[in-house]
Amino acid sequence: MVPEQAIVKAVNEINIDVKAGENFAFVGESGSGKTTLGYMLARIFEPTSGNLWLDGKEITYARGRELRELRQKVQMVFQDPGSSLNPRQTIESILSLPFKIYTSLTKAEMKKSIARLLESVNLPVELMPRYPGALSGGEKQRISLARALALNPKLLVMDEPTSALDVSVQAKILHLLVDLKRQFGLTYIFITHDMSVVKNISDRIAVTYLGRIIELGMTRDVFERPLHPYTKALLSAIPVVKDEEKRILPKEIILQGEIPSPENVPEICPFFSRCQERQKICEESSCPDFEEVEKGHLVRCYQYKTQIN
Amino acid sequence: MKEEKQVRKEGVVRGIIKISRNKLSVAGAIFLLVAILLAIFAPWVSPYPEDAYDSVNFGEQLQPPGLKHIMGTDEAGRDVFTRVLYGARISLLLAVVVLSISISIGIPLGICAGYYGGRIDQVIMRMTDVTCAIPALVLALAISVALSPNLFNCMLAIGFVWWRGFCRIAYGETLSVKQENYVLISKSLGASNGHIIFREILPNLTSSLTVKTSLDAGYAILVGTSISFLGAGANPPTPEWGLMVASGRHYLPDAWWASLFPGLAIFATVLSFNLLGDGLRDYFGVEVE
Amino acid sequence: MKENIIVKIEDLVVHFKTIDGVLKVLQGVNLVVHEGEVVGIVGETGCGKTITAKILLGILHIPPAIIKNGKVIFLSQDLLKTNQTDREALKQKIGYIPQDPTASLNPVFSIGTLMVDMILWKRSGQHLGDYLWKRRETSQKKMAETYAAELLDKVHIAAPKSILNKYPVELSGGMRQRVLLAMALIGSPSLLVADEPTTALDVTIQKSLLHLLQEKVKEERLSGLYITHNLGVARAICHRTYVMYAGSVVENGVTSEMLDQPLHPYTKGLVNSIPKLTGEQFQGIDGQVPDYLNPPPGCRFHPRCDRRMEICSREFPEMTQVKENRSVVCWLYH
Repeated sequence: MVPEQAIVKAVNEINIDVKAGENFAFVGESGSGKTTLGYMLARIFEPTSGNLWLDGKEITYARGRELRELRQKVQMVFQDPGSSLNPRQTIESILSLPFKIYTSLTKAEMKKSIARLLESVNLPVELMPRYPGALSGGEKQRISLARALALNPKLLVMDEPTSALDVSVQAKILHLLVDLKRQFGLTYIFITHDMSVVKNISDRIAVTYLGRIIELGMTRDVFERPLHPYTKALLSAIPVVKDEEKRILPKEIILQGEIPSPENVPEICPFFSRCQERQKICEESSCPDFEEVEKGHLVRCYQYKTQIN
Repeated sequence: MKEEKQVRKEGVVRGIIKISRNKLSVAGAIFLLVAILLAIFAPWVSPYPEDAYDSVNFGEQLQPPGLKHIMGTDEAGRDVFTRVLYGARISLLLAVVVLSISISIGIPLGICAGYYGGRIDQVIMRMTDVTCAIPALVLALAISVALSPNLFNCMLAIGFVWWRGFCRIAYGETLSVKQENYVLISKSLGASNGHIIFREILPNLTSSLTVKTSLDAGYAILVGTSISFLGAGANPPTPEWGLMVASGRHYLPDAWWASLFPGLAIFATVLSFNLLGDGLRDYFGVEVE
Repeated sequence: MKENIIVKIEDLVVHFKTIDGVLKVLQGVNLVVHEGEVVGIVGETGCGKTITAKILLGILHIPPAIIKNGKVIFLSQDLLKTNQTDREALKQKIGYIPQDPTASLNPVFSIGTLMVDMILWKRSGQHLGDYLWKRRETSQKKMAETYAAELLDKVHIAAPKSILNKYPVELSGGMRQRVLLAMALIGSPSLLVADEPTTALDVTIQKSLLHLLQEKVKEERLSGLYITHNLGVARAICHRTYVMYAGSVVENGVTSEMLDQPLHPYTKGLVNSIPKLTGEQFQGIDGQVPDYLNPPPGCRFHPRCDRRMEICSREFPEMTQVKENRSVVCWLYH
C-alpha cells in the first residue's frame, strides 16, 4: 500500500520522537495517510518497512507475549463512535473484554473495575446493562475511551475522536481527555484535520500530506510561523468563528485542484501540483529533505534549502 | 439490576407494539400458533384418532363433508379432518428437522468461510455455488429416491439441500461485520478468534437468521409435501398432506374434499410462515430473500 | 431600502407521529431570506434545521410529519396552501444542494446522463409526457448537453465535456459537490438551499467550495439558505444566520456581529464550546438536548441555562428585536 510505504519512509528519514506525557498531533486531510499511521502504531496493521520503538524497545514485529504487553501499553480510539461498539453487546460486556483477556479477575472484581472506569469518564454506573443503541454520540465515545483506559495504557492513539460529535459535546470530551492525561500520566497521539482543536490541545504537530510529513514543530511555532505552503493553506482554510482569530491567520489561500489520489504518488514533492509557491527545482528533484529552520521546527520544502546541490 | 429488567421489559413491549402494526403477519403468527397447538394435541383433539393411519371403513368411503365428518372421508373411509391434523404434526416436524440440519451445517460453514477467507472461503463457497445451481426440489427428490423413498429420508434430503441458503447468508453477514470497527478493536485488544466469532459476529447474525428461518420453514414444508406428492417421500398410510392430495387426485372432481382440504392446509401453513417472515423482516429491517 | 423577500417562514409548528408518541419538534420557527443574501441556519444535531429546509423543498414526508401551524412563503406564495401544480412550478425556482455528495449521485449513471435528465425534466415543466418526448429528440439532448457543459464550466470544473462521460465514482468528493452545485443551478433558480454541503469534505476543499458558492451567489444573483452545524462556515458564507435549538429559533443577526457578541445563552455556550485559535478557554454546555416527546415547558433551553429565571420555566419567551436584523428569543432581553 503506497501510503504506508510513504509514511514509513518518513519515519525512516527522521525519528518522530513522541515524548512521554506529550500530546502529539498528526494533522492532514484525506489521503495523508494519518489514519494508516495510527493503525500501525496501534499494531492493527503491520508496517511494510521501517521501525517503531516504544519506550526504547523495538516493537515493529513484536509477537506473542511481547505483542500482548504492547497491546496493554498502546490503545486506540476511533472516530466513529457508532461503529466502535458492538450493537449486540451490553456496555458491561464491552468493557469487560480487556479484563477478560489480560487479567484473571473474578466477575465481581471485574464489575468493580468497570464501575471505576465509567466513573473516570463521568458516566453513571447504571449504563452497564444497556446497549450502545441507547446512548448518545458523546456517551458512546466516552465508552470507547473507557475501554481504551481499562488496561492502564501509556499511549493512546486517537483518530479524530471528536469529529463526529456536536460542538458542545466535543468540548466536554476534549476537556475529559486533558483531565485523563493528567490523572493517568498518559501520552497522546492525536490524528485529526481540525486545526482549532490541535491549537488548543497539542504540544507538537506533524503536518502530513499524501503520506509524508512536510512540517514538524511545536504547535505554537507552526501556527505563528507556518513554513510549508501547504501548512499555510491549511491554516487559511480554517473556518474561524471570531474576529480575533481571523487576524491570526495567514493571508487567504484558495487551493486549486483536487487532492491527488495516494495511489501513484510521484517521487517529487507531493504538494507540487497544488502549490502556489512552487519553483522549477520542485519539479525536477525528488522530495526535499527535512530542514531545521528554527529549533525544533522542521520543514520539507526547497524554499528553505540552505545547501543547493 | 432492577434497571436491567425494566429496560428489557420496555424493549419487549415496544417490539410487540411494532410487530402488531403489521396485521397480516400477526394473522400468520396466530394461525401458526393454532396449527402448532392442534398438531401437538392432535390425538386428543381429533374426532377419529384411529383413522389417522391404518384403518379402513369401506362403509364410510368418500363421504362428503357433513356433521359426522366435517371434512368428509377419503377413499378408505378415514376422516379427513383427523388426518389433516395429524398431517400438521408431520409437516411441522419436517420443518424443524430440515431447518435444524441446514442451520447446523450452513451457519458454521458460512461463518468460517467469511471469517477466515482465503482457501477455506473458496472451497466452501464453491461447494455452495454448486448446490445452488440445482433447484431444491429436484435435488432433494433425487437424493430421496436414491436413499429409498420414505419420510425420514425425505427430511434428510431436504436438509442436506437447504444448508446452502443459510451458508450464503452467514457468509455475507460475516464479511460485513468483520470489517466493523468494533471487531478491529477486539482484534487489536488481542481477542481470540473464538471470542470474535461467537461474541462479536454471531450475535449480529441473529436477526437475518430468524427471518430466514421463518420464511424457509414455509418453503421446506412446500418441498416436503411436493416430494411426497410425487411419491418419493412419505408412504401410505402416513397422513402426510402431499400424499393425501396425491391419493385424492383420482377422485376429483366428484370427491373434491379428499384433495382440497390437505391442499388448503399446505397453502395456509406456507402462507402463514411467509407472512410471519415478512413481518419479521420488516421489523428487523434486514434484507433476506 | 426594503429588499424583496424571497422566503418567509412564519410560526411554523411541526409534530411527528412515532411509535412512542408525538414528537413536538418545530415549535414556531420564524425566518426571512431577502433577495441576494445567504441566510444560515445553524444548530446542533436534532435541532430541526433540516426539517425546516425539507418543508421548504417540499420533500418532508407528511405522515408521519404533521404541520400544525404556520406559513411557508416563497416568492409571495404560501407553499402550504398552494395546489400541486403551482407548487411544482414554484419548486422549479429552488435549487437544492444535498449533504453527502457520494449518496446523492446515482452511481450507475454518468454525470452527463444525470444532468441531461434533470435539464430535460425541468424544461418540460415536470410534465411526464413532454419529458419522455423530449428524451427521444436528439436535438433536445444535444442542447441539454451543451447547457450541462456550460454549468460545469461555471463551477470551475476543468474539461467539462469529458466530465460528462465520467461516473460519480471516478470523481473526488470535492468535484462531486461541484457537480451537485451545477445541477442545483439548472434552470436559473432564485433560491439555493444547501444542506451541509461541505461537511464530508476536507477543509481546503471546503474553502474552495465556499469561495465558489459566494462567487455564484453574486454572479447569478441568487439567494441562499445554508444549513450547517459549523459556526465558522456560517461566518464564512452567510450574511445573516439563525441559531436554532430544540425546534425553534433562539437568535438571529448579521453573522459576524452575532458570533462576536452573542446574546442568547445558548449561542454564547455554542460559541464558547469551539476551540479558538486565540487559545482562550473553551467549554461545552452542560446537560443534553431535550426529549421532543416531553419537552420542557417554557423556554426549551432553560434546564441547561445558567442564567435562567423563574419565568423561563413557565412561558415560552417572546422575540425581542434588538435592532434591525437582530433579534433574540430570551426573557433576559425582554
